[in-house]
Amino acid sequence: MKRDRPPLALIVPAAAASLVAVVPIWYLVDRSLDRGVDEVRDELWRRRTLDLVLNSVGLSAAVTALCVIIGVAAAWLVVRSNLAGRRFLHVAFALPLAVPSYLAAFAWISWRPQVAGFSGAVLVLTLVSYPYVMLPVAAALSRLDPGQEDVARSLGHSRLQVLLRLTLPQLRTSIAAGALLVALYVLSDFGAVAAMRYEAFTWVIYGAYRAGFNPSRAAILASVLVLLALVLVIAESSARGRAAARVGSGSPRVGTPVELGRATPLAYLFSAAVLLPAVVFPMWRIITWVTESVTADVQFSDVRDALWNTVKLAALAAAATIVLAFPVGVLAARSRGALGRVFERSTYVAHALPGIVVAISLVFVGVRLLRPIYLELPLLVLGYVVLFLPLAVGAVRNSVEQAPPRLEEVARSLGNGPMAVLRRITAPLALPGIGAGAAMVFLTTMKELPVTLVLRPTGTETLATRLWRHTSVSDYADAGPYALALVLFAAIPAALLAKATR
Amino acid sequence: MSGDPVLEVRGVHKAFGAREVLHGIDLDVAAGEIVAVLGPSGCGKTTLLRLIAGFERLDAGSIAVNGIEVAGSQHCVPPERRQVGVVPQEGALFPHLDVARNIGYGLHKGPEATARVHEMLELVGLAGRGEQRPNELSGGQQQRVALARALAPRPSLVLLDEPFSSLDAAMRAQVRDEVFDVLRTAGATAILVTHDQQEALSVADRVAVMLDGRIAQFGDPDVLYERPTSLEVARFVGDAVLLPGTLTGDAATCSLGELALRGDHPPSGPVVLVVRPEQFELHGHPTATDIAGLVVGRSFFGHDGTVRVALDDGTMIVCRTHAGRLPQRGERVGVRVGSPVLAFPATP
Repeated sequence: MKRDRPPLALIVPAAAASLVAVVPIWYLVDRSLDRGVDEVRDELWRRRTLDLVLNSVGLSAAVTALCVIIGVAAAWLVVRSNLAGRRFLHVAFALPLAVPSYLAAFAWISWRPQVAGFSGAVLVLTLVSYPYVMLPVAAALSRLDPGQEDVARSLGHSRLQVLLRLTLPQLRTSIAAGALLVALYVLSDFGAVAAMRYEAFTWVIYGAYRAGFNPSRAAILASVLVLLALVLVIAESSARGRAAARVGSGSPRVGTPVELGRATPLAYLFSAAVLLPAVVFPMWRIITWVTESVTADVQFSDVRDALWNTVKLAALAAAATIVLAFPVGVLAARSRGALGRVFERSTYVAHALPGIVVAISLVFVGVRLLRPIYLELPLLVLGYVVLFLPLAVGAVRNSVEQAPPRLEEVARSLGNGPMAVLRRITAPLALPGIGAGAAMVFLTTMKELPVTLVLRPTGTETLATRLWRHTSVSDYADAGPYALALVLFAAIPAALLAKATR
Repeated sequence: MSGDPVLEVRGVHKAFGAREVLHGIDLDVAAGEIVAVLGPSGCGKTTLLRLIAGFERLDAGSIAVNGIEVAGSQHCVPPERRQVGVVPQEGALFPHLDVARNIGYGLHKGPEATARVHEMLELVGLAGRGEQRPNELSGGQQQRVALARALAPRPSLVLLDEPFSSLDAAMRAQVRDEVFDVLRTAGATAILVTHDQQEALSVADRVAVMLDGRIAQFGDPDVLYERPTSLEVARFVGDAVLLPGTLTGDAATCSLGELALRGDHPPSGPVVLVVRPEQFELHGHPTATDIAGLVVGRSFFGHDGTVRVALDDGTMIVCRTHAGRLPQRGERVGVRVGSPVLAFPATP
């Protein structure tokens, strides 16, 4: 519906959300300019800065390419093929979402230390992040009209031609969205590159902070990372192209699954090649640690408390993030003006920031403006909100876009104002998609490390912080029970997400 | 007209970017009247409907409902305060609400609303189906629920946007009759937008023919058919065979010989003659002086049929005849025009 101006009741909270999202930028600019513009120039012109850019971009490109291949192939297998057990595989392929990148990295390092470096980082990050491509692609595949494929076949195209010329082009939007998530995730990941000792941006930034001698260098490097992310976001929106809307009113039909025939063993081989290293291997390592920890000194009550804190924080983060993401997502989906786009894009900025930068910038803001909640629960939750707004905004926007605008028009003609229509029509229709977004935030918060480490109230331990403390000193036996609890409980929202895309 | 004007549209202009869709539309609808806006796809009729409903803003002109201006170049009343109900294509029922909640959507909660919902369910013949979900209903039932939903808050005016186009042909006529029976029973004032001339002519009190963003003619259905004011309207409303001819005085000469004219006709000179298919009379065994041709195609409809005839001078005509007398393909037939025809000035 064309409105001249969206209601203020939407604009004000959306503006607040995007303001929250750009807090880290304020910090970065302030800190970068600490020692003057010359310092910034010198820092940028160093040979080492270029090396870091190349390292991070190379890692990000390699992982994204691999994730697109694995993610699209896995999505096609579980949605369109006749592979026996594909419903089980659909959930199994999503399970790596439950494995934090640093945990996967330590599982490999503790087993074969020589994988450290570029290849190890590519391996681990690919295995934990291909579901970000698989889930949206699987959802898009199951929405495609199978009638189109039938028509193309009857026009003389082979299965392969149909895949290349008809199916893949229509999946472009969801592939691009998933690839963006992966690329940004890799740029901002800290745990895996640190464990793999790969000189990516985040590791060096963390080093600069930790050493404490040069915070402005860290801020300048982090700003370069933000620029890289900006380039990615712009590239994605141009690769997205015009979303192909479903034409015609035919009710969606499930297509006849494609007979794999003699390719069946190949499909199982592919599934095993992905699932063994991505799911079975880390589980085997964790169980080994747990059996070793029988002799170690782990209190059951510590695990229970950490689990409770983890679930509580994840639930708070999911609720707060969705509440703030809702107005931004609705504006992005419904208003044609520039305002909606600006709000939406601004929430994406933080997506490329390493968690550690978000954490430090909230310390900066907390000390200056929010003294009463500094090192209290609300500031920690705010940190999660900044980190995960893009996940939630994307989920809200996509699900609102799928609610037909015509329904909103009818509701208006029946006497409802814009806000009442939002409450009575748009929100209920978008609810399943928004729920999936909440599950994603919940899951990611459970695994989150740097923001939790820096901003948690004194004495609060989560599964992730316990896990980090033990694994970073190679005390794997003590880490075992926490790792097991984290992976098992994170597997629940991961499996729900897979079901939601079916 | 049977009452005061419910809707007054005056000089409405609307452009999307550089493309102007409506070039000065005027339209009056009286209380209790059903008006059809008939036009080919892309003529701007849906845009007109969306302007009346308040979903789009007009560029110039004004729209008044019950004598109160709801849209002008300066201001625009939002759709929720216009009391204009809408029945869109395919119904657009709210999928997350059951039938009763769909119908009651525009009502304030309370015992009166419950009673009204029951009343509307009765009216559209769906009593007892209130707890069903929209996806459990047939297409025709969905349209009736959409109509009940629009009528429930007693709007001043109901707008129907091609409401039957998604139904299959067999159901279409039946659902159409049901819907318009309901509208008449409720005494509603309504505008039907359609590209189907048969639909428009059969259900509406008056029909506005819309061509290329303008109202080409607005009048009773029989007047539109019998006395179209332009060649475009004559071609669009009902089937027509167009023949070039020359007019002298009160008769015109063309490939069918000399034909009598009716209605207003242009001064002498080159004209285009409009012959309705049912005006042709066919007869077997033509003599050498008769105008004749070869049957090249025939369509049988049960109660009657049409025959395509290629005249000896190459002109192609379509004739409607009684089914019992359909000539065979390849047969030679004589052709006569049995009644006066329409003439319009030939455009150079």
